[in-house]
Amino acid sequence: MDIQITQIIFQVINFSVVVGALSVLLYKPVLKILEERAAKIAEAQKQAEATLAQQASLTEMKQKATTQAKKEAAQIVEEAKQTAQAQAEKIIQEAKSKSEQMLIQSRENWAAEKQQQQKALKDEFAVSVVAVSRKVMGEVFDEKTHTKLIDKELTQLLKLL
Amino acid sequence: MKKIIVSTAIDLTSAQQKKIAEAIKKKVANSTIEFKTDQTVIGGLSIKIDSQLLDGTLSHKLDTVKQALLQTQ
Repeated sequence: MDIQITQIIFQVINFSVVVGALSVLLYKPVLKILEERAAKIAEAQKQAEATLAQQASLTEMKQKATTQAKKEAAQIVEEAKQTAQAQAEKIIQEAKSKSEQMLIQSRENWAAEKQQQQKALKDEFAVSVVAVSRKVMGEVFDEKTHTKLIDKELTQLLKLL
Repeated sequence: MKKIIVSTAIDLTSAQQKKIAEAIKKKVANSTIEFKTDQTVIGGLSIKIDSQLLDGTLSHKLDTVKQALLQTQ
């Protein structure tokens, strides 16, 4: 086999032309496309990262809001509890005071009624004693006693004239 | 002339009436005396001179006692 320099040179030139043509027609466009794609990918990645960051921020805000809402709710519940307790205590106190007043009033009423009954008994006793005295005196006085009484009273009455 | 009524629980004898009349007339001259028997007076006597009443009866005394008892607490 003879290696001819002209063929070699021709091949080299041929190869160079092909490489050149390929470089212009294929390599550079493809490279450009690849670069564009890489840029797009980078852009998309950047956007995705921004979105992720935004999502993280929103999640954090949501967490804060939830915590705050829970805190406020707990506060409201606590305040409501305290208000209800204070109200209950007030009602109990008022009921206690009212029942004490009623007890005092009923005691006073009972004392007044007792006094009234005692007075009525005393009055009845006084009337009975005098009635019995009248009856006894009317029955036991003899003439001598009557005469004595008349003389005594006459002396007293004449002093008034 | 004054009208005097003497009330007693028992009937008085003439002597008793005379004694009472004399005693009264010493104090009240120019008067007529009438004697009445009223068992409700119980004892003692009352002397009524026109509209004035001098009550020395046991009935009156018992009424006074009753009023005093009713007024005390």
